[in-house]
Amino acid sequence: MQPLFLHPRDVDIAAPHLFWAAPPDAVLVESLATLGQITPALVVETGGRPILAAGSRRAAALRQIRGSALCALAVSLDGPADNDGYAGYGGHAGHAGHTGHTGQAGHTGHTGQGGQEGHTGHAGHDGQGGPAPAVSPALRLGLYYLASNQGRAVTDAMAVAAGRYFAAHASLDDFLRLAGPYLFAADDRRARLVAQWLGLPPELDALLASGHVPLGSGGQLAALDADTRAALTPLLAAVRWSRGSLTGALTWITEAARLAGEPAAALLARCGVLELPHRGLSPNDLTAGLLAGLRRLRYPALTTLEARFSALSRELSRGSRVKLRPSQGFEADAVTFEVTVKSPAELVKAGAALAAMAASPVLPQLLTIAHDDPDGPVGEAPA
Amino acid sequence: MSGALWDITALAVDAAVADTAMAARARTALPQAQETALAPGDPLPTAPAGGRVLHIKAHKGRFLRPCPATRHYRCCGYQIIHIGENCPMDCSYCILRAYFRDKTLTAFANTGAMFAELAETFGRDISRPFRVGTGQFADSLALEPITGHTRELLGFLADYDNVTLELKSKTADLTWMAANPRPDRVLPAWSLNAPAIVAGQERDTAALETRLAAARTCAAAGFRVCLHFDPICFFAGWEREYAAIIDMIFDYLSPADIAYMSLGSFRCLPELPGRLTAEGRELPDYMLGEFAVGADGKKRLLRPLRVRQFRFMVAHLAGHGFSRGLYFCMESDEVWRAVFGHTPRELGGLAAYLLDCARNPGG
Ligand code: SF4
Repeated sequence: MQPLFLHPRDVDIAAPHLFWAAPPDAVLVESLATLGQITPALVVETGGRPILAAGSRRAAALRQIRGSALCALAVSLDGPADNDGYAGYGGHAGHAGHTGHTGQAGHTGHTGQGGQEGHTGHAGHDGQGGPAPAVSPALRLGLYYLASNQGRAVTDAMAVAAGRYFAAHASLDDFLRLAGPYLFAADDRRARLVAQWLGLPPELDALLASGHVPLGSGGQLAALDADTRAALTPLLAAVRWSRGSLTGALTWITEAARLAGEPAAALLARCGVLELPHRGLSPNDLTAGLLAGLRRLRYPALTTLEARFSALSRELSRGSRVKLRPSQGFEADAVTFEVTVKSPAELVKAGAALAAMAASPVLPQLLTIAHDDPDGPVGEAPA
Repeated sequence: MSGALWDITALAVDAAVADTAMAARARTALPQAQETALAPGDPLPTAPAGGRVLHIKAHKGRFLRPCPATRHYRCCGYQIIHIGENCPMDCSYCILRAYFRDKTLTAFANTGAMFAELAETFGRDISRPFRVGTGQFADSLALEPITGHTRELLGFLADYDNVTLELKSKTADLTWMAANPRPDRVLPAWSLNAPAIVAGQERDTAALETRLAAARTCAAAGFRVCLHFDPICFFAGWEREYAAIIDMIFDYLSPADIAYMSLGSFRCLPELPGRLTAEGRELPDYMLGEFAVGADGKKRLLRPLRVRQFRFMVAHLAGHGFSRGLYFCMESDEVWRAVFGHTPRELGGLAAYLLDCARNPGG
């Protein structure tokens, strides 16, 4: 096969099927300048402007090196039907040649392409007979790109970017069947999570890429209505959420909205958590503040009791090392006092502190803390 | 639904009880059901047309059991005669969901063994009064038209003046009245709830009006009835809803017709909501309340919220002139004091108090 030599500006390096395209780094530019292009890019000849199928970083880097040409091999968009090669393509372990983007990043993208012929009999072949549907040119371009990047570590955001491209041209099932083997190991549960994430508007992908929202939260976010999601977006972007924290936060806000019979957006606007990101708090304090605010929204009575208990217990135990705990779930009119001592003298001191607490007018308030209805008296007086 | 009574399309009868009166009554009541005689070890049949199986069998263990209580919450000292298992109705809050995974209904036909055990307990000292009910794991009367269990039991209890039997149900079945029991020794009882809870969370139960009409029939026949608000659910609009059912009670009954009435806040094993969603049912709003796990390991509404609901109901009942015989099911002394201003101990103990309410109309 004769390589083509193209001016790097004659190819589109930002086409949608180049979904992982990124600007070249200095190392790649330097390598191309000193060693030349070791691995050809892939293009599809169209009779007009060729379509770059793989090698966008190389092309972009070569644009920076005056007078250089992009060496490319031509591939065809005509190919075997769906049941004749591509779905099983990623299943083969033989493409060890795809050593990926280490070193001269992007230069090794397509080695091993010649092996495609042999990859028949893939797992997706149902053997049901009848004409198999052709893989569309758009899908084939996506698959070329994935194949040329095989061996590269695929982050969650990359898998979603690939999913966006394929989902625009095929069903989710076809995306997973055709592209899945390039993206996920056989037992990788990310395939399901990526499929869930694709139910979200693409604007949220940036939060995944930036590490603010974990892939595993996609399903829960997708279940929210668009207004709630929009109202939450500033909070999603405010901290780097762990899946556990975000699950708690989303559960609280949706349940609180359901119980209040109000849109979540209205509750959020009222409860003050939307202002927290603008207070200059540390990331940890901001996360804690957001979670506490949303928990208050969901459990107003419980959090009010907790706050009252903690204020009164601080007042009662001030100056001592005694720790106070309420009864389990505030079920009993009881308080547990806890103190650790390392010497008889410390015990004497703790004893004196306890005696002072016993005489304090705060103690009866603490013991009867659950007598107060956090929302005040409702309905009629007791019989 | 097959159209059969309680959707029972299969009757499985263990060989050991095939000749009992109960098995014969069930055959008569379910003429369309496909009958299977079961030898020991035989598996239960599959009910035709997606219906359910009624399994008539012998019970091996004890029949009389104390109501499951814990030391942390005040129990009413009730004892329950085990007559069968599972319920053909379906309430989202039902504890039976935790015990039975399929729809099979079970009725214990070895009433001879049951009466022998009961005779020994009730007859040991006939001056000792008992307050008992039926159906720890079942509705007292749901299967009565089929099994005639209660009618048999009432016949047996005719000799035990010291026993007061409570029959608690969400049906309006009154076929047991054919046994002609002493009205002062039987307490027909109905569980009630807010109309919205009955409409949304109970399936195949009798309408509130039907339950109360049955209660009125009993009162007219000289029985006093018991009413149970359990579980009281916390949801938007609960005040209006519980006020409505309390008002409705007194459209049918006078305070003197009611021997006692319990109030029990919704409580559940922490896994119940998960069970419900696993069945594909939407979690009801009342299960999203503010719960704390109590000392018995069950989730219950935060205490101040329970007290708020109880105070509301107690006051509303008092407005209709009903207060004697009002008690809490499984509540702490703290809650008793907060709502009633006294604890069960000050009533002489809850069990004794309810026995008194059960046996002495005037108090
Ligand atoms: S009627 Fe009673 S036993 Fe039957 S499902 Fe409802 S709560 Fe459970």
